[in-house]
Amino acid sequence: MNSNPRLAPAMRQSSQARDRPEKDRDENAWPKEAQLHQPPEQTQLLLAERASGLAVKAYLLQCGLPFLERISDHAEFMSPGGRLTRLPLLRLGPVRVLSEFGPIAAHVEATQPGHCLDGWLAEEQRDEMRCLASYVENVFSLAEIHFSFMDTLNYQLYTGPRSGAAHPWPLCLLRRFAKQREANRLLKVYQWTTLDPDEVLHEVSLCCGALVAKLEENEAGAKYFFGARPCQLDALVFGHVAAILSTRMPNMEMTDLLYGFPRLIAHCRRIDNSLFQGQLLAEEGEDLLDDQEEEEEEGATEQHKQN
Amino acid sequence: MEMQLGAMLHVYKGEWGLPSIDFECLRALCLLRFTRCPMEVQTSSNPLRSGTGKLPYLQIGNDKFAGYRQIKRVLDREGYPIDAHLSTKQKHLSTTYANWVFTNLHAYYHYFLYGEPHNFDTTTRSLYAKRTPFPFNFYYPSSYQKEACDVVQVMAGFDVNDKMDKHEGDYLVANAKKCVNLLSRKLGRKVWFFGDTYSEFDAIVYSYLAIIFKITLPNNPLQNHIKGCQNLVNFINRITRDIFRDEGYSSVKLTKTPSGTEANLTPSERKFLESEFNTKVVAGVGAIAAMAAFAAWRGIYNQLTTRSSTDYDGIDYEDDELEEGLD
Repeated sequence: MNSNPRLAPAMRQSSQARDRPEKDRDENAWPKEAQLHQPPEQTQLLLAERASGLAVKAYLLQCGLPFLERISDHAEFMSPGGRLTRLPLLRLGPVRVLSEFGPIAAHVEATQPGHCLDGWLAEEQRDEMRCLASYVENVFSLAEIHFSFMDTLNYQLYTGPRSGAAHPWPLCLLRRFAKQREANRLLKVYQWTTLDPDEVLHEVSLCCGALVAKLEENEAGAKYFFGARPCQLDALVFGHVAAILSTRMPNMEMTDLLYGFPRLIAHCRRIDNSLFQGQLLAEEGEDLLDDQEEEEEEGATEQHKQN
Repeated sequence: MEMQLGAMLHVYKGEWGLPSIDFECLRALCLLRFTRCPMEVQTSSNPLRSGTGKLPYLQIGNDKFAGYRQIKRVLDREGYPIDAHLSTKQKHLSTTYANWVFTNLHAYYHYFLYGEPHNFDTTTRSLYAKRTPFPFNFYYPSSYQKEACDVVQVMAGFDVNDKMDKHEGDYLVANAKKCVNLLSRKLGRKVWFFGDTYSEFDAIVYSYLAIIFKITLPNNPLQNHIKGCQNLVNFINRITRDIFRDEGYSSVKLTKTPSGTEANLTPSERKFLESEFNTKVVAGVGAIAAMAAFAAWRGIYNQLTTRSSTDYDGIDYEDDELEEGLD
């Protein structure tokens, strides 16, 4: 089954938009009713898809481009294709449909120079930022997919039911198998099938280490990755980190890993406070922070006993 | 150290002066030779002997480590890490850029080497088949084609099994060209991408570009593009010449030969033919001997040497046979 029928045209659209002459400016104007489609969050949305969706929302909010959120059961089938999760889906007018963070950001960069976030970066910094963004997206999405599909506990209790939730029996079973097969194929292509969970966590921690090093490179007080102003990378990192922190899964090892990088969490909270009024990380974060505080108290009482 | 147990890396033999024809094998070889790890390299290997059925694989004693990631882990553990001389920031950059190159060139490499039917049937299949032992060479190269189908489906969104006009290779070519331009800009006039020392990023760039640059495919748009970036060409040639002096291999071209086909033979194939010739001679002699023995058993020599009697004909002979049978 050809599940990515129109990926190449969708990606080409964003690259060709850069070369279009000025008379197409009207075509490239941002429509008043741009729609962002995603499956329902309570019942169907998987971790990697949620992360991608949050990243796109953060990016569009930071750019100041208006959009409407739409819940569609079959968003993944409406999607023109993509390299990783194929979601979320951005619909600009009747013809143009884009999916995934990469192509959407490229399209905005090409057609909305006034709103684009990265205009102030130098050419070399922009190259570095694009490479970092591609690396971060790959590592985080693959780790999320690996954790959702390869980890048996997560799969049985979280991913499996969600994959087939939109359809009645027996179609739900078929969708479950199809999604798992697709996830396996994706991991095989990126050569992640041979990794066991510890190695996946190791890759994520390497990525986080690189991000923290980038944050620390800037002068003190700089809030974002490339200085005082946000860029694509900030939105992307926020999307993934916030999704991992705020999604309750049976196996929380990745969340625990992220708590070992407080600078990243601070960066994420900053963006959450500015764009989402702190709501995203507030609900789940409080439960997890309470757990952490309980653990710290227990540790403190044990130390007292030893003393 | 486990190295003492006779560690051996099994890879495909090379061509056009390169140490190997396969991207993964070349990457693994770079890990070895950049760090000057004292390990032997075996080029006539059976890919199905590795645990996973693909080359490269590393054999240390009785343990087999198949695939680039495992080999890298073993080398890091044994004290030959490839990023030993890099600073932390350079290590992060190396991983980031290696991932970027993978994202852009992996799909191009797989499509134009294995996915495109014309390329695969004329060049790549025979390359791999010559380096795979009989009888696997008939079907084993198509496993690479199946892998390429998956890669192209995920990374580029079209199916290799569709008709040629549905193949959207232009997007791959455009991305690959942008990637090569970025690499050329990053390298500049430096010896290695990170200045004075090698890194994993050098290994991955060399592995992709060397093969794409040197392979003689009917349809390979990136080859000319790389030729246009002189610093990348110098980078490839320098590494091939200096570091892979011993492992580089290329078929020798004969100037004048009686038959046209011999000019296309690699020395390994000629050796194969010679050994086949020996086998043919032995087989022929054996067949003649067997036939002679059978004839002797049937008594034809007796017939020929005895004077032909008037009543000699086939019937008498058969009567003798029947009597013998009855006894």
